[in-house]
Amino acid sequence: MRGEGLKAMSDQLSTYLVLAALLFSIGLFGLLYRRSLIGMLISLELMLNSVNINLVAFDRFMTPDKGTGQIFAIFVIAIAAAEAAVGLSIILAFFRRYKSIDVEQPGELKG
Amino acid sequence: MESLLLSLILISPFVAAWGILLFFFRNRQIAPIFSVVLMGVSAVSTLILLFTHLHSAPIEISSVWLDLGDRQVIMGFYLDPLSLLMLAIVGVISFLAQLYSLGYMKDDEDRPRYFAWMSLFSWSMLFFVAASNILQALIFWELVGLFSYLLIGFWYHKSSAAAAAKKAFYLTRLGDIGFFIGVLLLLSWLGNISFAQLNAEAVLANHSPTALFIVCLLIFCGVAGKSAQFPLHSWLPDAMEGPTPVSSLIHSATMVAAGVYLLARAFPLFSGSPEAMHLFLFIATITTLIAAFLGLIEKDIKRIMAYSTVSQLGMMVMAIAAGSMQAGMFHLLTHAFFKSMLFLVAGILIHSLGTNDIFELASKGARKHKVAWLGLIVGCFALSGLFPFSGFFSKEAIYDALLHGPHPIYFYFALFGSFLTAVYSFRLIFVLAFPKEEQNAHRHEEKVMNLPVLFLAATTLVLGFFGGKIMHFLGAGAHHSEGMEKIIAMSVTGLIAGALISYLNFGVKNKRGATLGLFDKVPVLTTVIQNKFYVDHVIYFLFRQGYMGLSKVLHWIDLNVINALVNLVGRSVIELGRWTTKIQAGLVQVYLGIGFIGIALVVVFYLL
Repeated sequence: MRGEGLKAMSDQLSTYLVLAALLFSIGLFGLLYRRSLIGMLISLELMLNSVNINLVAFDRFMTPDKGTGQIFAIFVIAIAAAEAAVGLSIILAFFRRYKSIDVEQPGELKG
Repeated sequence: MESLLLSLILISPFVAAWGILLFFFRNRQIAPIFSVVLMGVSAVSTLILLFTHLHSAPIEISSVWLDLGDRQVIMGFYLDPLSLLMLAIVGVISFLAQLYSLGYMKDDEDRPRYFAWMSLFSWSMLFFVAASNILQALIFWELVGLFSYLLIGFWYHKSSAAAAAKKAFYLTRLGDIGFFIGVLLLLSWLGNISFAQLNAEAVLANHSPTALFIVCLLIFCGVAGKSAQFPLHSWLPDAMEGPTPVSSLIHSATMVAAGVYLLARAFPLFSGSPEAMHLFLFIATITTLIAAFLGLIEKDIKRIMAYSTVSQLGMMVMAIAAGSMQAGMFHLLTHAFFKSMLFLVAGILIHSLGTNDIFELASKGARKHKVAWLGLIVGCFALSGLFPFSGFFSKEAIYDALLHGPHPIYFYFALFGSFLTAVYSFRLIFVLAFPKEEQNAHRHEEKVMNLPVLFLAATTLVLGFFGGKIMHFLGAGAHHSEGMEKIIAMSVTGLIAGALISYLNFGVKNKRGATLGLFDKVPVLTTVIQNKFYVDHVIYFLFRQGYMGLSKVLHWIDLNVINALVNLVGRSVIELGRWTTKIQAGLVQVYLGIGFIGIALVVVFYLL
């Protein structure tokens, strides 16, 4: 019974959507809450991956034959890699300038 | 042909002024010559234009300047006998005044500026005279006011000159407010119609007499300001602070004549309201008499002439208001010539003897200047209306008009005014002719200054004999000469009486050097006259109490209503800004959060 319940859950689209939403929220929270740039970058990756889960899940349940969602997911992963590279280099430059990766350090835009 | 001449007339002074302002402003040798030559071109063109169109029909040249859909602003020129004659007067006198200025302003450092303003002044006056409609006339009327301000205040470092310029500007402005409102009313009734239409059609028949009366009165406010009618006359004597050729130009042929010319120009409009005309007649009578009284005890030679100008302007307006536009314009013509000559003579005396006071002038030997002395005598004779000088003829025409006007009493007032004119004219002559003691002061003369005086003296002698022709040219009907002998007899009696009184007070041996003459015995009257009939006091009082009170109220409203509203807007924006700057924390994560909230709101908005 218990195994069947899990199987039933894993056959439903909503399970994956809820998971993705949770993951996205955690990522958003981390992005807004973390003071270190590395932490923010990691949170951002979490958000991207939650989107990936959405794409794959929709592909699986809505249009199983086409595989469009899979391809999208692969694109997102590739771009996330590039984005991580760019992000890390920005963080490096930031560190060189402020000797810290605390995002509260620069206050130049303060009104 | 006429468009070429007209272009020459109107463009030459403009070119002269801007040529000086742009190229010769530092060149004190070329600028005056340049200006005088171009003004000469303009003057000659006015004369050619006049004499080639003695018998032709009125010409109108106009084009649409602004098309506002249902209304059009038309600019153009209207050449009829009236404007042709006036163009010639303005052109010739402007040229003579500038020619004279070559000598008078010889030592002034600011000559180029002077000649530029003179040219622009003549330019705006010529444009005003040639204007084909009342809106255009208004525009150039204001320009005339502006340049007269600049010319009266030419020696702006003298505080009295600056004050006089301001006074002239304010008082004429006061009248111009009325004029402006009147023009607006007229435009809203009739559209921007030309003077030709205004003169030809009975356009005014559809409007109520009250409305017409109000419009005429409002326009007359402007006339009273420019032509120095009571109670706005007091700027004119003060305007004597300007250089003398300026006085000669402004107070004979141009600025002060503008008002009279406007009365003549829109004569059919004014004749539409006999009540208004009667009121003008009354005001002009007061002006004539007051100014003549003021002239009686004045010691400054230029101010005597200024008061006589005001008095003669009153006579012109009287004639026009009594229904004879031709008589008024004829007097304007003769007066323009002899009065500008008188001012030029005064200029020669002041320039060479260095004082304005007639008693000092007398003791410094004013009578030894042959040309000036000749000009002065001719001018004073013409001013008091002695045969055969031009003033005699134009004054007879005015008497004639007044006798046939609304009420013959005005004729007697005019006669009394002329009597007073004779008194102060001959006082001037006798004071200068019989000084108490005479010293031989150093004199220096400029030959070029004598030329205009001699020319004007000649015209003063000749012009009168063309009186009939000139009035006929302006459209006077067949002359009715009944009662003419009576008029002449009465005016000559008044004249002789005036001259005699002056001789007894200033000419006979033991009275030489007397300052006031007859008025020594009546101190009350002297005080009243010395205070200029308290007109200035009343105006200042009204200005202080009325105008200043009103402006205080308006200032309060401005401060507490309008300013408060403006401040409210400003302050609320500032507060809003102060509040929103808190969002700009300078923290990336705050911006991110706001961004997400925004996106979430958009999503929610579209989903719901």
